[in-house]
Amino acid sequence: MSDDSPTIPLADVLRAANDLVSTGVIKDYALGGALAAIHYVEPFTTYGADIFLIPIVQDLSGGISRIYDALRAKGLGVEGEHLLLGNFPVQFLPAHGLTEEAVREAKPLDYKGVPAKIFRPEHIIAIASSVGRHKDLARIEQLMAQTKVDQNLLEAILKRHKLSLSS
Amino acid sequence: MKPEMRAALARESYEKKIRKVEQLIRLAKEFPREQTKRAGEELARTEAVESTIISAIRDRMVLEFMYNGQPRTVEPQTYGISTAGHPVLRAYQRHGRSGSGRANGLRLFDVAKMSRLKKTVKRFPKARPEHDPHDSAMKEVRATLPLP
Repeated sequence: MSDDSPTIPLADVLRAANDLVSTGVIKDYALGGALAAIHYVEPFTTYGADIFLIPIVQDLSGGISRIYDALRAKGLGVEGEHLLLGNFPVQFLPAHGLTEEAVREAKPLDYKGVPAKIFRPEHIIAIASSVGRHKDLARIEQLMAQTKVDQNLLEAILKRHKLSLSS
Repeated sequence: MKPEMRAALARESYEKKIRKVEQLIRLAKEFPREQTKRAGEELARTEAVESTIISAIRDRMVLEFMYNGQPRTVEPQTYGISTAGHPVLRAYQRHGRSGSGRANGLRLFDVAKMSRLKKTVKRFPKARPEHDPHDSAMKEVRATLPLP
């Protein structure tokens, strides 16, 4: 990879996810994790993309092996539990509960002409509060300080999933 | 970084922010954590040395340190940034040998070459008669004694 080539091939990641939807491998997806947070806050270093998906096959693994097979068939490499686009790791994660709601209610995104969906800040905050690591708490603070958060929506999400920002 | 600057970064377009994340990833590869840590330690050392020297000038306290392998005892007169851009100390050397063979007198010390720097409990009364608060070897004076 040359210095000028994108280290984060996000448009390719989203295209690959769109292909999974159009070929009927998954029902829906949205971009979550750090790359979703960066949509709303100042840029920070991250080394992977998290795609949350609603699978068509509802088995214990969320049909993840079928999804990985489909992506490998498109030429994506595999390293551990990550798929690699170029050298950039991408995780395709089956959504459940709060993350499934986050996918269903995600905002539309147009990234370099590729249509996609991205988690709302209120869902990113709720997910971060449910995980509760130091970096998640820092992410909550960043989102609260740097983007417009719909407090009513956030409170409703937290209440629905029995979460609180102080926990 | 100030909160307003961070907020301004947050308002940039997503594509622009992703390009910045790519730059951060490249920088992290070019300057791995260990290198950054070493740079931070060096900066902390420089700040500690600077603080010791400035307080010694303010309180007119004698300093001791090792320089070019020799112990030195000095009365600090002026601390600042040399015309070449690095921290230097103009001090009157009371004791100790030097590379030039001269034991005593006003000398310019490169702070980066000092080690085992410590402020003693000994005080000196005032600046030396040849002291110049506008030391021509420095482009920036950060602390200096008043004229005697």
